[in-house]
Amino acid sequence: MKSRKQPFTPEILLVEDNPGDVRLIREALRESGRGSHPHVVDNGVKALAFLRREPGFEDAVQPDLIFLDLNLPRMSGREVLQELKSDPRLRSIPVVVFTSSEADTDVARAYDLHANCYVTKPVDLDRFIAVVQAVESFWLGVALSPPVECGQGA
Amino acid sequence: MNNLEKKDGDTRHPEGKPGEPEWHLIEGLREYGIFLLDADGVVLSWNAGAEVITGYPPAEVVGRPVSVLWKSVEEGELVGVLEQARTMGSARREGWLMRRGGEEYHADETFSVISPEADGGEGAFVVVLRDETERWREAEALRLSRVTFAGILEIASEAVVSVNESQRITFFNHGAEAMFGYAPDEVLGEPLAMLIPAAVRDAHGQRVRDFGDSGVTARHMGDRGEITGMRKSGESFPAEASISSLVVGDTRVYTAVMRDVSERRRIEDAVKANSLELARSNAELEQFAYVASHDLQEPLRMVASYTRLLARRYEGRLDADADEFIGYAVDGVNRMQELINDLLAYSRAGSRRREPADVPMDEVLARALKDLGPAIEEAGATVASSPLPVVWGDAGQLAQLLRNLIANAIKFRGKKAPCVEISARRDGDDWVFSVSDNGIGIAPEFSERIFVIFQRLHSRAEYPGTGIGLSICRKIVERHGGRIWVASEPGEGARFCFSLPVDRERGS
Repeated sequence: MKSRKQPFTPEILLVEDNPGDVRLIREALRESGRGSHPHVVDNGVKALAFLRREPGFEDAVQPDLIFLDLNLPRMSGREVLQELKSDPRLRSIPVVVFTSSEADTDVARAYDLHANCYVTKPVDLDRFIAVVQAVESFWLGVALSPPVECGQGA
Repeated sequence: MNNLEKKDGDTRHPEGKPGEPEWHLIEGLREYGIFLLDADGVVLSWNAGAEVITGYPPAEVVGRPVSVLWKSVEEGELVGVLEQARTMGSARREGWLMRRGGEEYHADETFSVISPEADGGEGAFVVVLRDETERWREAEALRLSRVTFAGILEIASEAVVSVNESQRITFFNHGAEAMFGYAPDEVLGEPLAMLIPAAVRDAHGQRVRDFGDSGVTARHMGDRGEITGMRKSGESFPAEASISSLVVGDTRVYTAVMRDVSERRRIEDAVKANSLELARSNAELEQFAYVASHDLQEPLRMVASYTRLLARRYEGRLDADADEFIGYAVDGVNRMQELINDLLAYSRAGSRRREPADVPMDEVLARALKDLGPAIEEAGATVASSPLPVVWGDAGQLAQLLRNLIANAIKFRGKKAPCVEISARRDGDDWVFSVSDNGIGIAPEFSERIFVIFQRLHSRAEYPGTGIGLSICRKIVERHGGRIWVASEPGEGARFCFSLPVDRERGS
């Protein structure tokens, strides 16, 4: 339902159960001054409900970018990834897996499930903020977003 | 001998019997001494055998009592022997005699009455003398060896138990008493089964029978020569046994020599259990270290991030105390992160993450030096190396090994600019690498301790660190089948050496 308008306000969905990380990501996005607008859900089930505007999320906007944690209650990030990458209306949304896991198996599995990129959460605050801003800058500044029609009409 | 009876009147004169072929035969017989005695035991005639055995020619002995041949004569002994011969028909005397030359010999004399009517009814006797010295010596040697053997068996700490063909106990030595707790009279004649636990009795009986049938005369029973015995108390115990089978006459005797190995077994079992337990607890510790450090990262990242955010945003805007508090919090978090990262590295060093491969250590060194670039530059260190060999192992872990050792060499520097040398030489089946420096060195008494996890020799203010680095090194080296050590004196620099097998079969 979102259309490109000026000024562009990027909508970002944070699927993250750690309020500390949510706040850090918010801080990073705030500091970047890009004006991104984060929406937060704290488990995988809510993430899918939000994206599909299921009851409780009727007014949800379609995000331009998703930050997806892997270890989530109720439905893991991997399952969310699998669901939304097999959903024609959702699969064009760039998904950044954002996790503290450095395990090779997690990285491989995420790309197998068509994650758009896999980024680990830096331990150092400055690097954490820099990474979030780099991701935001790349996906919402450098890369072109899929056109509105993409996915919407499918 | 009847012919002699006929010559009754002539018996005092042996030369007076010529022409009688039987007497000639006797006279010429050399294997036995045969002579005639009158009723008083006086020698009447003397054959060739008697002369051969005693050494006396007839002339020297005829007319003298036969007891002159004896080594020693007891009062009335001759009379006694003759009397016995008269009543019983014959008498036997066995004992020591003396030859003419003085040589003693053991002989057997049999006195037989030959003509009761002679000498006015006093009778005459024929004596058969046999030199039994040889046989007696053999018998004596056998007896002695039996006594000695029995004595040895008796004092042996091993248990010696013999059974006959019907598996009844026929011999039970002192060692067996001690081992089984029975006195000999409690077991002799009893079935062997009483010394064997019921559970293995049948198997044992079969084994003994098989052994008897096998035709082998002596061997260890069972694969490891081990059997299970049962003490009087009912307690079972393992014993090492060897068994022999001897056929004596028409009976077979089985003899088992046993050594109680329950104490040795107990120690072996304890060692085995300990090493299993150790391996298990090591594995658990590694798993724990990995999980703990991994899971600790999350909350710690929160503390770290927010402390830093606090510092970033509010430093200088609160009072001096607040800045100091924030400073300590940030410092604590930094150390904790370092510790967790090192623990994680330690637990990873314990697990094989990659398949081993040929690893050119020159490349590994280059990689380590590249990683350490900023530290080397900051310290103004010079690093020199000679060509290094290719080894078999995990390149990532070996890079970490060199990185840790070189980082230490730089970290523990003295007043001089650090100078690090890396080299390798062949030593038998190993490559021995060395990383030497010109730093503060290590007192020899700490040369073992430094490789133990969390062991530090300096305060954090002097040299920061977690005390994990060298324990990671040791773990990596040991994983690769080598060992690590240090040679150093305080103020003299340190030389860390580690060996890696040349032969890949012995490596990781």
